[in-house]
Amino acid sequence: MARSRLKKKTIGDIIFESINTIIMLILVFLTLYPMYYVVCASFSNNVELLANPGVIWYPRGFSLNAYRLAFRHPLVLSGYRNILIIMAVSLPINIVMTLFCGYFLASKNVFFKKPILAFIMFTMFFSGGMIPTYLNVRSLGLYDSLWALILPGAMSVYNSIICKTAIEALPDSLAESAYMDGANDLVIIFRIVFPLIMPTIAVLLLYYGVGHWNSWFPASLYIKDNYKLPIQNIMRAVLIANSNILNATATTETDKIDQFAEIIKYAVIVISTVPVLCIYPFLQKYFIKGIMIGAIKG
Amino acid sequence: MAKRVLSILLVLSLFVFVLAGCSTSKTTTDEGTDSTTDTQTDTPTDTDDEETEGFAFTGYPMDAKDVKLTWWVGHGFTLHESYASYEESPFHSGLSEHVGVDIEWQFPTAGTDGAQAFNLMLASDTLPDIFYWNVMRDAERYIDEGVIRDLTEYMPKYSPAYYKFIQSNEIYDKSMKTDSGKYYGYGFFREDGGWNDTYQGPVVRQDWLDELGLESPETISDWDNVLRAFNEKYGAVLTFPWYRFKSTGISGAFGAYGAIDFQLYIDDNGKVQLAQAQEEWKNYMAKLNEWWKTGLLDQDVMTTDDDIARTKALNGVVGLSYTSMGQLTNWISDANSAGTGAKWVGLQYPKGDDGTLSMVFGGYGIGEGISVITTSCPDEKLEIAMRVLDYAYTDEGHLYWNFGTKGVTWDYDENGEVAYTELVTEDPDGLNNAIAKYSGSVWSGSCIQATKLLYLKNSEESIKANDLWFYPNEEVTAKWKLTNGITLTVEESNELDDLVSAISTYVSEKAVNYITGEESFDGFNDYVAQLDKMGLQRVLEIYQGAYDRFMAR
Amino acid sequence: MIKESSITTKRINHYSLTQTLSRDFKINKYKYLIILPIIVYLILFAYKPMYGIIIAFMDYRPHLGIANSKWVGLRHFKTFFNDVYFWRLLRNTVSISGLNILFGFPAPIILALLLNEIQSSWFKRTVQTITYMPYFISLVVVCSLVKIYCQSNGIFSQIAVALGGNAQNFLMNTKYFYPIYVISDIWKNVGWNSIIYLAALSSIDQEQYEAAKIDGAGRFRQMFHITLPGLLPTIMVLFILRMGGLLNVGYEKILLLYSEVTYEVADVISTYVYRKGILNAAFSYSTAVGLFNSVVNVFFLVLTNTISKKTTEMHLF
Repeated sequence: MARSRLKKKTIGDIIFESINTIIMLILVFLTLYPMYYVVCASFSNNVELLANPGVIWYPRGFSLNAYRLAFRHPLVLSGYRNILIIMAVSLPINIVMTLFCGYFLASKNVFFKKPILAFIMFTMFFSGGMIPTYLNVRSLGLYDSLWALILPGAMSVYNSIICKTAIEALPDSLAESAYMDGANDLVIIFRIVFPLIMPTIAVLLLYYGVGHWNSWFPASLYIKDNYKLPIQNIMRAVLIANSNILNATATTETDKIDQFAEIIKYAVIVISTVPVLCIYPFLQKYFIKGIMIGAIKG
Repeated sequence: MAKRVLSILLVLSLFVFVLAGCSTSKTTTDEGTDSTTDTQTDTPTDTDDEETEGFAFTGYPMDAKDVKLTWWVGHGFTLHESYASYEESPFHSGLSEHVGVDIEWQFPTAGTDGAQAFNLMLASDTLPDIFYWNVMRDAERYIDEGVIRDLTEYMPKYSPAYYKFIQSNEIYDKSMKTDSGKYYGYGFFREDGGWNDTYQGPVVRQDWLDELGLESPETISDWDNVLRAFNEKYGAVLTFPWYRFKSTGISGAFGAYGAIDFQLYIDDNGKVQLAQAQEEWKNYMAKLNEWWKTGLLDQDVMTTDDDIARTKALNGVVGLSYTSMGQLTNWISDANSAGTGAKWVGLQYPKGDDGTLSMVFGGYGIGEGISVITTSCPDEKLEIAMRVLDYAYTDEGHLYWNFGTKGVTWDYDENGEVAYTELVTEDPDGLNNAIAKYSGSVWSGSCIQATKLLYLKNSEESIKANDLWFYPNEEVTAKWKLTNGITLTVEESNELDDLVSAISTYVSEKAVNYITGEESFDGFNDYVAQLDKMGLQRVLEIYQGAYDRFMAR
Repeated sequence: MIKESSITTKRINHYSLTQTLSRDFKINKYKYLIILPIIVYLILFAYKPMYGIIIAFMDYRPHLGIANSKWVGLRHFKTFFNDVYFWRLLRNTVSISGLNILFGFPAPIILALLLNEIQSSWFKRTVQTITYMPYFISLVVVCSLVKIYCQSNGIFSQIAVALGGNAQNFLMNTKYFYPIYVISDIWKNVGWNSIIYLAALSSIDQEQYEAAKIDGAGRFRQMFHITLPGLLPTIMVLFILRMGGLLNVGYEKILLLYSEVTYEVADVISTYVYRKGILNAAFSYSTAVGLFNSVVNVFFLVLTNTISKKTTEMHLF
């Protein structure tokens, strides 16, 4: 937001800016410290850490045992593989459906638009509830298949409204001239609309991606084979339900002395989070641009 | 205006379309499932027809590898934590080999609650052939609803070993059938009777007691003193795996019969009562509250599980605790290998200052879980399924369920006793884990748990601890207990569903709030009145009836 | 955009209905074609489960199926309204959601405003990059961190002791549940949610600021008189959407954080539905409770939309 200002700053401005900078620095610290803590803890010595798990600035003792043990378990790897499969299959479906829906809702002079809009919006606030939804997924034969984690969330109405807003912001003349050239709507969507709202698409990708990344509940309902669980459920088993699925992978005599269940938690957090945090700065520029253009205007 | 009317019409027609869509897709899926089940049942029938006619049981392993049984297990002999699927698990894949039937095992996934998995399985009406879960109380209803099969007429023929076993003891036989005399499942029994039903109790750091010149605490006042002394000297607090303590804990010392979990008991007059509605229970909670307030009770105790308690024990932040034989074995071996000098020993259950000890955690040696055959198991497979289940109660199967394969995981030593081979004793995951990998009876299963297994699995000190928890108190370990074997009628079972779930949440919530002091004891009478309002009297009445019927069986 | 013909509402009236329809289908056939998969999807995954809601009016027994289970009318609703927990569930749901809106909704707006005031562009970009980060940390991880920090020997206790308080497990104290819930939510989402406002800020006409400056308006006055009004449309739309979900508290998060000790403040309708329906197998009852939840949601949505339409002329439908 390079806003051209008059050169002179008043004292008020300076005070304001200093306070603002301090607030931002505090915010940055509060955001980073918990992550830093986890990294330190994961390299710590188990016994020393548990004796005193309060504020830490550097690893207590140093040990790589947590990582050694966490990587050994097959479920960590299969969990990773599953979430990657889910993302790879879901995201294209998500985007195409959202784009279609957004395009339709943004179009004018379609006779059935209003009822269809109502039909779509209604689902945003009214749902069948937990048990009927579960029964539905089973009756569709999706049980114990990754499809059960992909299809029910194939499109979010909320996101398609974002998409609609982005499309509405494009000038009408674009489509009109395309029609003149004999293009149909499908051509317009993929040739004209899609490239133009690319930044919004990037944002939607992130919304959907993060949604898949956060969700653990459906897998706990629909999956019965451990090897089909996504990584979040493995993390939940280790981190929250305190199931020591990773614990038994200790293999040497010294491993047996220490109880690693607690410290493995930190290693699992690092292992599961670092890749995402590594990818994200590369995507950042797209989604910032995207939201700039796609900002909801109502 | 016209347009408005039109769009309303359109919305309506869309709904009709939707409903039509539903019903058509419903029918198609129904047909779909029907046809698949048909084919599923048909194919085995074809092969089975010859087979059933030709199938004559000649011993294990049976020659029935082409028969596939699905077996869902909700707790007890679920997958050991180091395996992700049953194919990897030596106990589960081994059982298939030993009985000669292809068993497809199903378990709740990692981190998933057993009850959740069970209810979802029922909700969707896709049943395995066999499942193991706590269904004894509701057996009549499940038979009536067509979920599980009544096995009465087949029992002597297809499960001779099991039938013979339950006939050998009146209480076994009584517990394994319904009020109307139906046999329907294969339960869990402890060879020792009740000894291992008292598998948990108080433990203490003997070295600290010695250092401070204290006697082993016997009464609640002694506990007070020891806790305070440990706290002052070592900064230690009272902590324990919460889920172990929740059922009854040390309620006996207060004349109470339960701790946090909804707990029914039989009073001295043979009447069914709710532990948490008694004045004695209030005193128990008041004591825990006092310990909580003074910081003697660990503030994290409610989130403490076996692992956390074990780490705390190793780190010397706990001196008096409540845990199980198996965990005590772990604590001792941790202390030895880390060289902390901690000396954990079992401790007698505390008594009230006037010598009160109303009850001790325990039972009749019959578990809550039971393996039942569902209606999904077709007649052709019934005999084979029953033979598979019967295996655990044969001499050979009994050894397999407890110790694994002879010559692989164990063999007889010179005294003719079972002794583990190096495969188990030298297992890198440690003896406890190793035993659990090869055994189906460590916690519970549809089998008879061998006492020998417990002696092999636990340290000498733990066995001594259990002796201390059980023998002096034998009289009060089981007689207060509403036995697992009671059954409810279909109507009772339906009625209780709603009542009990509401009351039990209410009770355990109040209990923790009494302990943390969120809830004042002044309101105890209101709390009891609220229980009555929620239908407690009706619950007691139903259970009383069921109990009386059980006694009359 | 996407204007094909120039039929106006007025002209529709000149055609008969069938003419209008056939013309519409002819012109817009591709549009209907692309919306078809969405309609099919919604029918299969949103409307079909709604059909399952009828089990709320039955005593549903899985083995009997919907066709053979007994009808019980409104019994489950009556039971729920008389449930000891009814008011508590409603109160907690509205409280958690309300507090989350009260604090969680303005937080990204404030952050956006403050970020907007930063002069140095690299500092601004760094702050942005860092504050967006938690959004990409899985919910399970965030909750397990909360659990670790809340232990009686964890960070929060250490800070409390340093400030003269007591060491305690903060998750075991009903007083702290809401702050923990709301703050962790803000921590995870504030940066990300601010993006949308930053975007809207960029579309505010810069000349307004210049004009304000010339009039001698300070930074604060500019913020209140130009920036905030400029954000208002975005704020309102997001607010309406948020209000529609007033009774939709994210149960995935509460399930990860609550315990019996904190049910008093933390148990919400959706977690109750989960416990009743899935842990206690009261399928019909929990479906009835869920239905109630949905109906109230729709009510709030319509209410907020109407109010907003009247007062700010911003509305969704």
